[in-house]
Amino acid sequence: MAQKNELKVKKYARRTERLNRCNNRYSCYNNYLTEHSIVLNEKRRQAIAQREAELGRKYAQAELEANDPASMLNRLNQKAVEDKKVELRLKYRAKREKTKRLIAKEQRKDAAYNAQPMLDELARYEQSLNAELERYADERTMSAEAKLTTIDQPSAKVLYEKESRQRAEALDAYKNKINSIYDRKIESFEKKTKKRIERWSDKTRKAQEKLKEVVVDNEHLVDDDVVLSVENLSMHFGGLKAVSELSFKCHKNEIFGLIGPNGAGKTTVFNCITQFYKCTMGNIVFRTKADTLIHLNNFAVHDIVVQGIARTFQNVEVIRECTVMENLMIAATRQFSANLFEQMFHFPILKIEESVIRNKALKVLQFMGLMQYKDMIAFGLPYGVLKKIEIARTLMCDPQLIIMDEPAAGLNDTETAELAKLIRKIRDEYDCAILLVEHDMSLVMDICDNICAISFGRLLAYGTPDDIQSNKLVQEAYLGVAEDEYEKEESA
Amino acid sequence: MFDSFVGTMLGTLPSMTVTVLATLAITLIFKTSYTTNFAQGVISAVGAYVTMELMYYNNIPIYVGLLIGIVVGTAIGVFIDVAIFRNGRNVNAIGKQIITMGMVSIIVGIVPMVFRTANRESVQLIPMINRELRLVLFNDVAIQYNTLLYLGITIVIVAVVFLMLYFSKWGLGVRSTASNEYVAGMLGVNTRVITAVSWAIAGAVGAVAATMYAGFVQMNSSLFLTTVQVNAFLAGILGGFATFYGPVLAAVIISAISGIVGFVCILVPSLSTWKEVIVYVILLLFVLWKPQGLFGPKAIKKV
Amino acid sequence: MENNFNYISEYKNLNYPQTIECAAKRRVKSMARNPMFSFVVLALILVVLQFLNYLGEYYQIISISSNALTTLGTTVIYSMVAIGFCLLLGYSGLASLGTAGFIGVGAYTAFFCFEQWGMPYIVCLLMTLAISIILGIAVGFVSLRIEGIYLAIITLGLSEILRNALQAIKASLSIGFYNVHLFGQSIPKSVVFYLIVVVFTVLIWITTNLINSPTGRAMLAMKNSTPAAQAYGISLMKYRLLAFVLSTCYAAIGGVMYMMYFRSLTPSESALLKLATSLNILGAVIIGGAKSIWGTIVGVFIIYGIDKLFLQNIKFFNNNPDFITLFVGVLIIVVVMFFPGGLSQLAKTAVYKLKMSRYKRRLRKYGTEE
Repeated sequence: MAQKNELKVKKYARRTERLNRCNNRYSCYNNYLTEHSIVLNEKRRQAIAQREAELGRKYAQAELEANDPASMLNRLNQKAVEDKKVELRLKYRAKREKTKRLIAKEQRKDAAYNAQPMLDELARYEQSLNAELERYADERTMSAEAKLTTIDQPSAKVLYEKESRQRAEALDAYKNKINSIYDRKIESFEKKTKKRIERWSDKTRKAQEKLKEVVVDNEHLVDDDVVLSVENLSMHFGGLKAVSELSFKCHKNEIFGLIGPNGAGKTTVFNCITQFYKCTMGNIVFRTKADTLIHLNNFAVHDIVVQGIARTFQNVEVIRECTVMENLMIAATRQFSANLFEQMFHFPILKIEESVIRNKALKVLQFMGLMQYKDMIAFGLPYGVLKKIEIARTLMCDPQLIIMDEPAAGLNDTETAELAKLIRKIRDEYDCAILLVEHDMSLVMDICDNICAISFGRLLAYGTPDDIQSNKLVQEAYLGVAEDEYEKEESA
Repeated sequence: MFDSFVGTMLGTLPSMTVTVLATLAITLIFKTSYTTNFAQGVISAVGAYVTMELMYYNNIPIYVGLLIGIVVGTAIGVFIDVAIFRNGRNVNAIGKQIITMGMVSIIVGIVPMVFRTANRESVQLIPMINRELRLVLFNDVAIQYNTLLYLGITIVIVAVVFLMLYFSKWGLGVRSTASNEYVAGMLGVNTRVITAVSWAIAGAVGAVAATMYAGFVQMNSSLFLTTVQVNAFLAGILGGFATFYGPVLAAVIISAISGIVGFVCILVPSLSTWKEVIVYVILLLFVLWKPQGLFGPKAIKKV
Repeated sequence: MENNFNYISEYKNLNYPQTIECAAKRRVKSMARNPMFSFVVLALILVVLQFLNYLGEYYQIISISSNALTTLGTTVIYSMVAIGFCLLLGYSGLASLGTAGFIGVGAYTAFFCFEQWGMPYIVCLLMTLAISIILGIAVGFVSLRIEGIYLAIITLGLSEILRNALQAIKASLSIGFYNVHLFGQSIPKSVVFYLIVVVFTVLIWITTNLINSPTGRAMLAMKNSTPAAQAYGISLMKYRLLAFVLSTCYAAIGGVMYMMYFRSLTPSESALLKLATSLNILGAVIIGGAKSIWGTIVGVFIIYGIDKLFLQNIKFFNNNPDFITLFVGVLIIVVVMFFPGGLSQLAKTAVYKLKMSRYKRRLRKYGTEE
């Protein structure tokens, strides 16, 4: 019976994923419909504006000559003088660098070399350049004045009116053309997209119906606010018992710490939860976002993330050949609904989805403060940044539970303090539970709501940080038994 | 029936000895340089060509010729390691593979220029023993003295190399380099010398193997050892490169399998064109059954 | 790294007069930014060369030697195979030496389709795809159990199986002159060349698309870190099978094209189905840089094209053909020894250095605004 129910849960999970994909695609198309219409309209506006500007540029001369030749010439002159200024400035800078080098060379030869003459010469040169600029400006003004006398304003006006009429006609024709083209484009696009939306809403509905067919008996094994419940977990490697009979519960919105001395089996517990190891015995019950209880042991490693568990690794497993952005997008691989065929030929849906995921990744990067590393290859980035990328990756999967394997290892004190703040922020912002293994006691005691201490795969203590700190067993496990006490035990 | 079976199996012995030696050489290099040496075949072939050339055209006695052949094989092996691998900029395992491939290309280019390769026939290398001389075991089954000689040479070489591996300082160095080159280097093992010596031994063993192989095949191209080389690689996988003895035993097993399949083909003549396919498929199934090799330990992946 | 970025930002701060780009230049620039642009240009050049050869044959206007074109055709065919191998080695991190066997499967399918059953090209292509998908899935399953260099050797064994099996099926192939059909008409070698170029471009297009899609990224993830890939929902089975299926399909299509172009094949004499081909393809991909399509094409050209197209024209090499093999070997070793990222890496570094030197020169000349 229980097995049958398990099968049902698996089926349920599969169908939920399918439904999610359909939903994703449906919402993608919906967004696309509104966004792309805006984009197309914007494109149309731009095309017309560009044409207008082009025509404007073409007839601007005539207009200005007709209306206000003096200000036109003035403006042209100003621009020319600006350009000349930049040019002269570059000249000055080249000279300055050269002088600097010369001075440095002389000073290397003779420490007491007096650089003043050279600097004076440089200053003189700058003055001469300034003078040249002034001269140039004067020349331009004079030539402008000379030109002003030659312009025949009345005839220019007639010419201008004729030209402006022509311009208006040309613009109208262009507008009509562009409008008709874009109207057609938008119409066909909307028709196509609406058809797609219809199809996918149909599919979504069907997926929903299919999902309803599977009635999962929510065995009320655990309380309503428990996200993850590990029951009697045992993991044996041959004769070695890495973990035995371990049980703990992790509640919603809780930061849960798992501590223990080296080799206590903490990472093994994580690997069992994320199914890298199949545990020898025990149950791991997890509450998904859809509020169904599932037994994680029934899922493959690569299906865990879809259920809502994302993890980081002890030795940073960032994809080194990819940029930070791509690293984040890799974490969202399962959120793409485009199939292989659509990816091979770059169907529009892929582009839409890519942009959606990219925006999501941008948000996460912003949140983590990684924007400056966005397009850098992960290889060679500092260790602290790599750790942050790992955490950012988990946020890409809309997790219900984040599992962090020694997030503070290799970080210095300030970075650790930042990390503590960050973990709290993640918990609040992303509304998820966090399960972490850590050696840094100050961090664990600082941020964790509940702590579970283990040693040699066995549960030592479970409780709030204060409980754990005062627990004798934990102190022994970490510091060893005090010698006199040991002797006492011996004698007893 | 039984006679013909034993006869077939005895017939595979010469090629088995060659495969064993080639496997030994390839394993040594795999353990110390972490790469599969595609040039093993051609390096050995050069050794064989030198021996032949000296023996047939310069009338130098076989022992001296073989010695010089071994020296040449050794020299090429050491050259690859010292002159090429060491000077490359962070060459990884696949890069080393490609370099050995480039070596194949170079040697294939050089050999026809230096040696007379055209219209070579298979030749009797060990002149003091006539090829026709046989030792009759029972009924119709006989074994050539030549084969016995090959067997003897192989056993001696394998025994010497293994004794060195397990009881000499060099052997300790090889084993520590094989388990972790970096740490071995830090603990004071001169990994460079160790690797170079391994290449030298591989070259020498290869030269002997090629000279033996030349006794029963035509050597009209420097690639005449390719089949042996492929079998040696497969032997490495079949036995598992984790140990030294695994591949060598696997080479024997491969020869045995091919002998048995050969015997079956004699019984069912229509299968004879498919003989090689059947052998390789059997090997493939073995490897799929035990990916770590027949003699390799099982590894647990760490995350 | 930090240092270099400083240069760029300084360079951007230098106040230069803005240059105005004309619309046409902008359009060409935006077109050139498309990754397919350069490949389409390459395809057009190849097509033009073949056309010039045709003109030369019939009207004696210009002469492009047919031998050179055959060499180019060979290079393009092997490039197809190598690009599939790129997906396998450069993107999925799976080393395989079974390429020769897969090419052989394609060649034999082409022979049976065209010569024995007289089918059109499309059917032949579909059949090849079907067979190679099955084959790829089989090898993919093998790759799930065996990894690294072990996988290379096992695929080598597989290639030997395929070669021996194919040889046992038929020892020598040859397709009649009128038996290659495209759109219901038999086509000569020159038309096959156009077809090869078209197929080549399509394959490159598909590959570029795949590389820039979630699949390509998933493959890279799988190559760099299997645990991370699995933890983020990338099924190793799916993507390993996919990688092998793709590379097998590419190789088999290469085999079909080879058979259509050369029309005859004797496996025991030709090197096509032997280990040498697998190694050459591997070498080409490594020389060119395993993650770059252009690099791969150049690598294949170095191995298969350079001797016939250039070296044979040099008198010394023409007199001593063995030196060509020698030369290629030395080239391979030098590239692997000194440019581990392959030629594409070399080109990238060169471009980067050129840019940097320009920045530095300008900075030295003008300094920064104080």
